[in-house]
Amino acid sequence: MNDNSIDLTCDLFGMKLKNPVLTASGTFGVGKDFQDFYDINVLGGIVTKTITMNKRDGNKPPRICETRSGIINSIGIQNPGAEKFIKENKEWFSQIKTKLIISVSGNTEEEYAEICALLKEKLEFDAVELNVSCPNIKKGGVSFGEDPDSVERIVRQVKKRTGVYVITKLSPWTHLVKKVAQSAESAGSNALAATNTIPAISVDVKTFKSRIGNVTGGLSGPAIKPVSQKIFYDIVSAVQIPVIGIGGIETAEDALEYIILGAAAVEIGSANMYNPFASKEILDGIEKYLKENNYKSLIEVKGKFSG
Amino acid sequence: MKCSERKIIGNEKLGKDYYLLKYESQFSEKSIVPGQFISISLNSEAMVLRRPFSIFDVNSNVVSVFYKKVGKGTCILAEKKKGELINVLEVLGKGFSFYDKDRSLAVVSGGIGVAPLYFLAKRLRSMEKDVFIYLGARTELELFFEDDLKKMGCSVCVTTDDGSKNICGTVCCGLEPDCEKNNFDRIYACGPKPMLKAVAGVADKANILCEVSMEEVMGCGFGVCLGCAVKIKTKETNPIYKMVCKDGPVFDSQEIDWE
Repeated sequence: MNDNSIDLTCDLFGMKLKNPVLTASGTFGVGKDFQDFYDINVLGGIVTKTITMNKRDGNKPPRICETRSGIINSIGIQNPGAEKFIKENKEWFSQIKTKLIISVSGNTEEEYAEICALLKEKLEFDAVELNVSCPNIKKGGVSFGEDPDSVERIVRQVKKRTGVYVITKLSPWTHLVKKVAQSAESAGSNALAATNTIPAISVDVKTFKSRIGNVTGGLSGPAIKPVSQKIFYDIVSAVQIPVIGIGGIETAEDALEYIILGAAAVEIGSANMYNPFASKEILDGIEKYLKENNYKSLIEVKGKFSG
Repeated sequence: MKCSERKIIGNEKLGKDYYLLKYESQFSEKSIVPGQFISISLNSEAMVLRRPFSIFDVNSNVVSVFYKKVGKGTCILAEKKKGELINVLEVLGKGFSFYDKDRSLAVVSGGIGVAPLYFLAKRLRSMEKDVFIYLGARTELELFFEDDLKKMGCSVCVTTDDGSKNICGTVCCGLEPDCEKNNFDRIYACGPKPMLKAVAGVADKANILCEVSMEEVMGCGFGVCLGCAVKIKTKETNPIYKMVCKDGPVFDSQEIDWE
C-alpha cells in the first residue's frame, strides 16, 4: 500500500470486505446486468435477490409505485427456487471476484437452514443474508423478523446446521428492534443488516384503490433515510456484532452518515434501480471524502458519531 | 445498454400536451429494433424513478421520443430545452419481430400508442411490406402523423372516439372489417390495455398473429427489480409473470392473460 492510498477495508469479524459498499438484495439481481455499466468486482460485495426453497411466482401487479422521494414495492420474492437459482447462476458466480452474499428467505423457520445447507453443498459463496423481514410475505400477518424468538430459532438452526457466515437482515417494523437484534446476536449471527423497507401504502384518488396490487408494500429510497438511520442507531447501540447500514442511501454522504453512526458496511438499494452507477459512485465518493479530509482509513470515521 | 448524459436537440410541442423530444443517442438506427425503449432520469429529488419512453424514430444517431404530458414527470420533461443534457438509459427491452414471409401487415395505434409504431412502420416499409395503419385517437386534436405515415407509403385508416374525424369509434371498428380483405399476415399494436385486449380479440377471431407492446409502472428498466410484471396465460393454477422491461415490452398477444 503506498502512502496516498486510503484503507477502505472493513472487518466484519469473520468476513473481510475490500470496501464498505454492498448492494442490497432485490435491487441488483445477481449483478450480471450491471456489468454493462461498470466492473461490479470493484464493490465490497453483492447481495443477491432473495431466494426461497420453492419457486415463488411473485405478487400480482402493480408491484411498484413512486411516492415522494421514494418507491413502494411489493414484488413478493419472485424467484425460481433455490435449486434452479444455483443451477442458473453457478457459472456466473464462479467469475465474481468480490464477496458473494446470498439472500435467503423461508416460508417456515426450518426452511432457512434447509436452503443454507443446500447452498453450502452446491455453491461457493461468502455469506448468507437471512431475510427475516420482507414486508411482502408473511405468515399470519407477521414477518419472522418482528418476533425475537422466531429470529433466534432461525439463526441458531442455520448456524448449527451449516456454520456459514450469517448476516441477519432486520425489520424496522417492530418496537422490539433492539430485542430482535440481540436475539440474532445471541443465536450466533455474525452480523446484522439494518434495515429492510418500511411497510407503506399509496392511495389513488381517481380509483380509490391502492397503487400496489398487493395493497401494501415496502417503502424504500431517500424518503426513508432519517427513519432507517434512527432504527439503525438503536440497533448498533444494542449489539456488539457488526451492523450493515441500509435505507435510503443515494450518495456517498448518505453512506458516510451510516458509517459515522457505526455501520461496518452499507448496502445500496433503490439507488441502483434509478442510477445504475450508484454503488460505484458511492464507493468513489467515500474514498474522495476520506482523501479530502486527510483520513487514511475508513476506521478513522467509523462509529465516531458524537451525539 | 448504456447510461449517460445526452444532448437534447429538440423538444417540440406538437399539440396540446403532446411533444416530440430529440436527443443525440449512443446508438444508431440500425442497432435499434422498433418497439424498444429508453428510460430518462428526471434528475428530481421527489421523482426518483426513471421514466420509460418508446422510441418513436431514429435518424442516424438522433432518437426521437413522442410523449404526452400526463403527470408531474412528463411536465418536467416538457420544460427541457434544446442544448440541455438529459440522463438516458438506452436501449432497453425486446422489440417487435419481423418475418421475411410476411407481406401484409396491420399496425394498430391507440392514442399515444403511436409512439413505437411510427418507427415500426418505417422499418416495415424499408422492407417493402404492405403496411396498413389503424390510427385511433379520442379526437382529431389528438391525432398525429397521419400525413407522415401516408408519405411513407402506408395506407392509413383513421378512427376517432368522438367522430371528429373519419370513422367514429375505436380502432377495432376500422381494423375488424379489413382483416379478411387485406389478408394480414400479422398485426402489431400499441395503446391502452383495454384497446390491446380488443385488438387481441379481433386477431384471435380472424386467426391472425398479433404482437402487442405493453406498459406497466417500471422500476429499473432492465430486469433486476421484477417490478413491471405482466400476467401470462397459463393452464396451471399458479400465475406466471413476465417483465415488461426485459421480456417485453412486445409480447405475443396470445401470451398475455387479459383477465
